Amino acid sequence: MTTLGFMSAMEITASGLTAERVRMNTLASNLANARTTRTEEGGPYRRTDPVFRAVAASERLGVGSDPHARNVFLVEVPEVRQDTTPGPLVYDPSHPDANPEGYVEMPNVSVVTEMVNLVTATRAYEAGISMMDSVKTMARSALSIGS
Amino acid sequence: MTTPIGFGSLPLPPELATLRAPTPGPALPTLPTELGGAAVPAPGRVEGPSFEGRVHDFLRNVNDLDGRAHTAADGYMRGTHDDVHGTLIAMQEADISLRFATNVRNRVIEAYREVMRMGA
Repeated sequence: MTTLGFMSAMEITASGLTAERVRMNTLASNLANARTTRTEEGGPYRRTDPVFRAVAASERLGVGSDPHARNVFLVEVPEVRQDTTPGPLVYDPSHPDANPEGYVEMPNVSVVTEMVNLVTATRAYEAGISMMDSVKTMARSALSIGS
Repeated sequence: MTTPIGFGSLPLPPELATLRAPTPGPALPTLPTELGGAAVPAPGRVEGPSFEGRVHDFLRNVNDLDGRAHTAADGYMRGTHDDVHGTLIAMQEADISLRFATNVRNRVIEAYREVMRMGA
């Protein structure tokens, strides 16, 4: 593979699907821990977000000789970052993790926000699958040339 | 006048062993370089990779992709990874490259038959 082609289009789409899969995992983590008040570092659970970064296709796919590849990018997830905004304080004196004043710091997870992100991630994944199907259709119609 | 006709180093069936290639004619115009034309040698002046070499390289590539698809599917079924789309994409890549190989093979065979029909 020395130029951009069907296979590189598939690899780029695959990187997007993988990135959305990482997002799906962080969303699952955030939703599962929406009411978790205890963590190893102490304090409530903090929501996490994946960070997406564009990587030039020329350095990842061996297509450096193609001048167009310089402006074509894969996506990768260099890190999953913790959102450190404080969570809401809820008055619940009977809670085992309540402070002496009776307040519990809850995770900074908003279930509504996470659900919106989940819909976005699902749609992005579906878009990647459509892209993949189109690439496959194009490759197969190219193979039917002359037959 | 003494070049045996054959598919690279593959031995010919004995009944064809007397066939000989004609002397090469004038060089054909080469393809534009973006189509890989520069690497295609004129007939009878094999300098770069041979047709046989190309077919071998290509088949090795097809085989590698097929191997990757197999490894991915095997790993998924064994539970060593759960990369569903990676597995399916590897299988699609193997499928496309195998279809391409089949297409090339069909056309080579068709060209051979076309030559064999000459004069019939």
